[in-house]
Amino acid sequence: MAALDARLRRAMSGLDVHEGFDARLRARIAAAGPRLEPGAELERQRRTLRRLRREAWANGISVAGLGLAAAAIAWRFAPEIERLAIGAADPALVGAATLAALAAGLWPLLRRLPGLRLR
Amino acid sequence: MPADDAITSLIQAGRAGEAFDRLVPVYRRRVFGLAYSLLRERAAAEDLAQEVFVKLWQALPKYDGRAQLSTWIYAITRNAAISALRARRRTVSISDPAVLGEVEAIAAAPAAGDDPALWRQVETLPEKQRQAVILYYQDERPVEEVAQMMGLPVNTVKTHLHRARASLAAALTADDREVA
Repeated sequence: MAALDARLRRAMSGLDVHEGFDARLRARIAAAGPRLEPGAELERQRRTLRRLRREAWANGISVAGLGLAAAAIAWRFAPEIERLAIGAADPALVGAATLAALAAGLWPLLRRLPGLRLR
Repeated sequence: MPADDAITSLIQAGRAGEAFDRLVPVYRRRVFGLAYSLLRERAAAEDLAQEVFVKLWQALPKYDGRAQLSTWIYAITRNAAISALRARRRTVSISDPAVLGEVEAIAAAPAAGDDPALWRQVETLPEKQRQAVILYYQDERPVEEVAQMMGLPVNTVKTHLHRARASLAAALTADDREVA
């Protein structure tokens, strides 16, 4: 085993970077641009957070508006919808259409469920 | 490591540039060794080591000292190597299998010119055993440091080393018998 140890040490000791590694690293660092200091990084994160909050508000208002519009249309055409639902030749068709509409509405939530892996 | 304490003090004093200049010579061989043990190709390992040091240069001011400096550096290296291996696999999946066979053979060729028979046997070892052997013998590192580099418990690394040595001894003896 001692001979094997010595042989392994000899073989592995040659594992090193090529000459000029540091010079190449310096060039790569120079090309990478300025380093982000902690203060600047924190400020960048704050700016991102502010932007995300603004977008969340805008998205929330849009969704609420769309929901209100849909409710108003349903309210306006309630008698026609009721007639259509009750008088429909195939109740299964109405059920399927309702389910499809629900699924489409909930799609943004469904796709986030980890077990489903939906795209 | 005493060098780590000095480097950490420099970072905490806001002298990240100076800390980086001290860090490179201390970790150059270690980062390269770890990258090589995972990628098994010298040029790719050197390129990865460069990438890791650029990442370290960028992230050093954010190092908060919660984890040991060495643990942090090895984790960055391992993650970068895993990403490189994934990227390599993606490239492989869309290429010609015949060409790939040749490329893989070149990639797995011994790193050093010395003792090709030994390197051939090292290359046949299971991944963790091969990694443990390379990291342990590259600089006669303590098993504790090898364990830290690999992100494994010390006893697990000892087991890998023991098994690797036994396999290598058996394989090399068989090789010698064939030659004789």
